[in-house]
Amino acid sequence: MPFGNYHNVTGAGWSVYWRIPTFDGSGLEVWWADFQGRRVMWRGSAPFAIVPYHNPDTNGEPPGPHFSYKDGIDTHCGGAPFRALKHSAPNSGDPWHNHAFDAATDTDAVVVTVTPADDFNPACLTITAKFQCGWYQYVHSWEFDSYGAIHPRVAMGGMLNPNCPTKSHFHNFYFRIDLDIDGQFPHDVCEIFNHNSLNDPNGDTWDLVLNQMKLLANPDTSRKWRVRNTVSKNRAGEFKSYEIEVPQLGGRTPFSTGDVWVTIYRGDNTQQGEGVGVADCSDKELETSYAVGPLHPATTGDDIVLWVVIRAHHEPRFKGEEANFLPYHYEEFSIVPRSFAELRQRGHPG
Amino acid sequence: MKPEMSKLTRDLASVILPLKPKEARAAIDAAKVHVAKELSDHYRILGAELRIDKPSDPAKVPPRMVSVLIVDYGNRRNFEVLVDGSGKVVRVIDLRGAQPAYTREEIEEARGIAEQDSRVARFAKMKGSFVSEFGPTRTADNPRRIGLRYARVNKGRVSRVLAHAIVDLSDRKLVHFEETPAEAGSEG
Repeated sequence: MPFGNYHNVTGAGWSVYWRIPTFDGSGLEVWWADFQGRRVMWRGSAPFAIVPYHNPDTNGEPPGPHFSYKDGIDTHCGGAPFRALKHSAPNSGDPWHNHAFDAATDTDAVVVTVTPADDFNPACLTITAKFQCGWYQYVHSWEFDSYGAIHPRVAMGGMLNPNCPTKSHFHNFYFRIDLDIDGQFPHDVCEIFNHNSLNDPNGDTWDLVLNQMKLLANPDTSRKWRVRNTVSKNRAGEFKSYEIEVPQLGGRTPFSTGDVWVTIYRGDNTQQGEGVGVADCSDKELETSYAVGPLHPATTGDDIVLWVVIRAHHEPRFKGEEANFLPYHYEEFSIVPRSFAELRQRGHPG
Repeated sequence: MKPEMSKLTRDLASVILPLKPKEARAAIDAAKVHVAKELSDHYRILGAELRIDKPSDPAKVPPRMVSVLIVDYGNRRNFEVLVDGSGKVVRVIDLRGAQPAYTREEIEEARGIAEQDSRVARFAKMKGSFVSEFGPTRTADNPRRIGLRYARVNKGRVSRVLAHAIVDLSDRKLVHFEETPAEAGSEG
């Protein structure tokens, strides 16, 4: 079958499977990501984007009254599914109108690289593919480094909106992250970190999230989040966890209303991004339909699934560098281990 | 053995082998028989794909399932039929309002319907014109609707989207057509 199968790759201490689903139009997925022989993630995906434009004069693209696309899975509001391209397809408007650049099979689309460590960087396993979405191209890329961190990345390319090339807009990319730390589900808790002051004790705090809910970033308190297992400990007796660090270059809008949503696993074919955008081409369904219900941090824990959004506000350089094509612009966030991995420098016994 | 891989993942090896065409055909046949009485006479089987769900117990290996995706245009219903390794249907899942990505065949069918309308045909016949799909605004009765953008390549560059058409594949008709407003000085 040309799409939908699982492909294993290894490198930088990681074993990861990748897949491009056949029917969803949702892009590249990674499955069963293991580091140093231990399970970290069941599945990661970036199945949709919400792209609101300055308005009203958009010449029909995107259409009113919301002037916001929902791209990827279960498209709404004029949005388009992610169509896998051959990895060699040019970064231009050509693959929009020329299907010769479509990938016939998933292996035509995906490039896997393993980069050895150097004097400045860890080794890295990278899985990358590009997708056509209307006139845009989106690059989905997952980097797994030998420090045990995961860097989900997405790039915007292709060409400017031909009907309103001058209009600024936001790209809001939504990632579904299903961590299964050490394979010990459903025994995770989600916690919020805040730096409150430089005065210890309690200068830094971690607070439990008690219910499924939407969470907001706050760079003023160095806010981050983590999924912590309540069963599996490292040799030092610390519970194993992975932290979510999201750079905040773009802010929230009425169409992209949160930064992280804490939900639980409800299956691998439900709550994958479908139904989001129905009401008004925004992400509000993540809060009203997905992140609904209790968590059980004081007793059993839960099988936590996080939704994470990264953003780019794009002020087009339509009279300059972006007049002919869109140079790939990357945004990313990081999923970083805490008390999970044992790291040793090569040649040093530790 | 790959030292990076966990035992949990190694145990999945036989479950996640690539789907073979024969296995896919068998799953589609089983699904068709199972839902035959529920189907209208206007449906399309989009295809089959492996489905691996997380097991309820981490120590257990999840079953290998094949998902068969069916769009029932007549009943305005999309659903997936899960077939296990022995070819037995174990579950039918209604996708409710969710719409799978449009297939190439559906887009061609939608074009065929839309371009019977002379307003659409005019754009389809333009030199350099091309069509791309989009997800239009939904309606409450959940028909399978496809949006078609008609745009044009002029001197090697896409000039702009000239028109939008929305085709209801459930009713097999063009339900919306709109030319995009032309900016002063742009081509029309």
